[in-house]
Amino acid sequence: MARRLSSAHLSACLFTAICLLTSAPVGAAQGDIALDEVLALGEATPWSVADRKAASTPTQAQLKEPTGFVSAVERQSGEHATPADLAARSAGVTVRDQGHNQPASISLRGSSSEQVTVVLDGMPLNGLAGGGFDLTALPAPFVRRLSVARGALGARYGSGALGGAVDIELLAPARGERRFFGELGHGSFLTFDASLGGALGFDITSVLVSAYARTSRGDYPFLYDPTPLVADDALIERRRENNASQRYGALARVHRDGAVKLDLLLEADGGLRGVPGAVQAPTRTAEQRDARALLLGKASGAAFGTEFEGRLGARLGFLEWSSDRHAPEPWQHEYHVFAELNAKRFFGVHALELSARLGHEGLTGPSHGTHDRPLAALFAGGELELGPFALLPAVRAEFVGERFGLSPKLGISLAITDDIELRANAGRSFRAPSFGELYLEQGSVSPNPDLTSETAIFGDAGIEARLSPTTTMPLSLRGAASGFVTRHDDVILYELHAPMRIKPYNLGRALVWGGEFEAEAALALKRASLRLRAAYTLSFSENQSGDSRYDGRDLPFHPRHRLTSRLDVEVWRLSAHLGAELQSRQQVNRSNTDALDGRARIDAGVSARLHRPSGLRLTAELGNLFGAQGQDLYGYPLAGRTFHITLGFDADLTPAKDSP
Amino acid sequence: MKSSLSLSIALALVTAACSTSDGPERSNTFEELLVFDAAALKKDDGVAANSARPAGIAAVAGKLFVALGNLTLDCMAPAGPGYLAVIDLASTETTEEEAGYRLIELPSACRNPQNVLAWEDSVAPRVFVACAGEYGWGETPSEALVAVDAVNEAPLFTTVFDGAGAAVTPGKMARLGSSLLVGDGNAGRLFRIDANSGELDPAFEQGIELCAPHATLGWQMTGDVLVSESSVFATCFATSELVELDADLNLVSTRVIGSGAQVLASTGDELLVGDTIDNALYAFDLSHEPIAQVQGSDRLGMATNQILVNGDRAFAITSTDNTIQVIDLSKARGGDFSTARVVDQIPTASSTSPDATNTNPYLGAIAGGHLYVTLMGACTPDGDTAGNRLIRVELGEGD
Repeated sequence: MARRLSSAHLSACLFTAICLLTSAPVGAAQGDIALDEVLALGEATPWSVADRKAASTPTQAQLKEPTGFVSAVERQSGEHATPADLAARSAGVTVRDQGHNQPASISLRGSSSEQVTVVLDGMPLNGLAGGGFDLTALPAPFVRRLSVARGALGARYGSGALGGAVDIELLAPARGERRFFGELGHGSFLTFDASLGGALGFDITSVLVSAYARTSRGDYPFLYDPTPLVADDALIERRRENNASQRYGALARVHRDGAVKLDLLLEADGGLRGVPGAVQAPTRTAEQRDARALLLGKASGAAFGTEFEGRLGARLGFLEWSSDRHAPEPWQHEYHVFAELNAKRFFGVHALELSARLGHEGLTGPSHGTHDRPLAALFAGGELELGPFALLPAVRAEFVGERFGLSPKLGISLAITDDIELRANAGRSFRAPSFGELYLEQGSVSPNPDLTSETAIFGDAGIEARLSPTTTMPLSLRGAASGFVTRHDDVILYELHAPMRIKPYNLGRALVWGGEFEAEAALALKRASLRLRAAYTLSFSENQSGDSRYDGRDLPFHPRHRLTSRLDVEVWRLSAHLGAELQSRQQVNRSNTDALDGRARIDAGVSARLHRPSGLRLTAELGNLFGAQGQDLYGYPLAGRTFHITLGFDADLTPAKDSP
Repeated sequence: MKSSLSLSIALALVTAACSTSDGPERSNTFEELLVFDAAALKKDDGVAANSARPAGIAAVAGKLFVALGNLTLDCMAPAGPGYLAVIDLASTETTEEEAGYRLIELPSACRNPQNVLAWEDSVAPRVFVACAGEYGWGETPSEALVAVDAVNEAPLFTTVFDGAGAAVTPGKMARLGSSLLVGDGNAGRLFRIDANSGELDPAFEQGIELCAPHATLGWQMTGDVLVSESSVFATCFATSELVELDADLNLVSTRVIGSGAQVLASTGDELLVGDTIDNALYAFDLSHEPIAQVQGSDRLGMATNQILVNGDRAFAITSTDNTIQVIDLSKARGGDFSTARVVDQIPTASSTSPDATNTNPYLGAIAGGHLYVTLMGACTPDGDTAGNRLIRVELGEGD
């Protein structure tokens, strides 16, 4: 079973060990730079020089929500982690993981996946049919870092962000940069992945291109209990079937400096995956294919004492799902386009920001028909500095088709000292029903075009403190603790409305409250560094739907405790990490009569820099070190122990004058 | 109508030598008796593919009667007329010969047969077949009740509920003297029918409203009906109510239990209620007036389609995990139901099926010391291959 390493696993580990022992030494001290002060909680130890510089800058989400509770997570070079894995390192997150090669979306502060907006440079990525964004769909090597912003943040992120938002930043070229990078990886269950890219700077224009491919058979073994209510009977070893996946992607970015800065981003990805079905009833021929293309343009500059920024974006999405891969169904396709103009003016230490956004989105599918709707939003926000207080009011008025919603928010911060800050936020957001909820008619699923928007109001408050390193004490500490409460109203739930027919209704009402804690310690020495960070979420929920059968009970898929931690150590040319994730049990139905067990997993990895000029690095990772067999939301066993080896290079050929 | 195509007797003896920490060792097996062949069933014009989809089953007059839905591959609509497959019980007693079945085509007013009730009668044994049609959504109503002569294997009469107002989907049935009680799968109603004529009781032509529709969702469904001596019990699924009536169908009591009370069974002194949302099993002491719930509940793990009682064993057919759970009632009586219950579970996957896993055991009947269970198969082209079967399980009494 999965708990035992196969010969392939052992060969891979042996190969890694040999490489680590025999790699040629290169000038190590040159690259061992003391870490800059890190502004974001939860950041990982960056590997490359470029990454280290990036780590010191706040993320877009942190700039948008300076009083909010926003965690940023960097992707490390060579790290075999999907964007979902990165997001999982933040407080407030529960990953809704359907297993190796299968979708993973996230919940924030007890929300559903639909209630989390995933944005990329201002473009919402959530599919128009609903269901939340699959964070495994985006090629991991394209991701530079992501931020997890928690709370009902519709004022900034628009309709949908009831639990919060995940703001993804992709790789971007820097001025004058000349850099080539790539990764080649191999892992468990016949997984192979590769990426290749380069960045070139010409005077004021910089270009970055990258390509990505991944294939995985995904046929992991697991122990199956055909008689789960019988104690102590024998388990059967099975392999997950129809779980293969292929994924491809391409990224191109152009940046032009000058009085008017221009950015252009083109990202496309697509692939196919088997749909394995439920463990008791596997589907051996079902398959899903999808493709997406994004085009984003941004121009920014200043005039009349005001900063202006204009954005244009278009997203096309394609999806096909068939129960028999040999008899494909018609494609479902969708689009989302928008234009946005933003102006920000400073009045001394105060600022006023206004923006207007117009858009349109539509979906055509065999089970939806053809539908579209216009989008329009006005945003106004301010930043008032009143001594140690900062006051950030914001409001967005928004039309999603004919549905109107107002999303106000007020954030306050109080700087007690330079290193200790109190923060509090309150706001309201809404989520307009998806096209799926409004129009999907398939099999036993009926549409409900009369749905109204879900809403959420929230409040949170907390403290963040930091200890900055000094010349005599190269230790930095950070800690944040916050409490939150969110009330969800008119939650859209699918209910039986006739025999064998379900339909969405605005039925749900729930209260979610709890605490989030993040801590980080970093020690940066001349030839070594150490970073330890942890995030813990304590969360309570209560169903308040008014149905006596469910009132007062926990919401399903809502673990009360979740702890993640990670230790990164870097010595000379070697680095290693050890990560842990613990999650308590979670209910799977509203009446709380059935639950998924809690789970714990330990991950570990080592990395060696083999050749400094080329940035050649070999990374070996073991996932789920002790082979703990968890379950996905539908009870399907997740993969046991996994390995992944990545050989990567990152050759920074930037002329010396631009080097750090 | 006779089937001209092959039947299979697979003798797949399967699996699971199971034991519990407090139960006796036993080996549960099942025999795959036959495969229902969709090619023998008529298809409507324009229907590309059909599937037999065996559902309800009853034993009477030395025969098994199996409702064949004859549905589209996704199970969402009838693909043609409904059928009853008739199997001589004697032919199942040997594994040396092929078990055969004959087909009875049901009237066009009765499509998608789901439930079958055996009506023992020394003179005129028969079976009643409840057809769900298209659950009231079709352009042409095909929800009806048909009585079939169990000896001559021919339809006797058809009862159409056209005077009952809102569309009726006849569902679960129970015998009350010479009357047949029929639950409405499209509302919280109960109908009484003269079992000899098929006439609706004029006093209840609109049916008896057992439960009001769900306040928000606006629908209701009679989940099951059961007669125990002089009492009638029914469940209303949408509001999870258990309703008790007297023999004259006067209301005795109503209570909310669990989240999705649906399936009913009687052990003689206890009423078992299966909750298909909470996946739980509740017990009520029938000696109390009105009946009283026995403390505790049993976790079934998965939603049960049907519970059949034989002696001190209850068999819960659960299509969601493809097992038949066996419950030792002697351990459950008079105490916490969850403390000592599962003797065994019988996975229904057959090693000889081309796609063995997704069997979807649906409904069953007990006859001649055996439990017969229909395997519907999943409602996809992929799952269909493991379904469309009839299996037989040894009851294994006394161990």
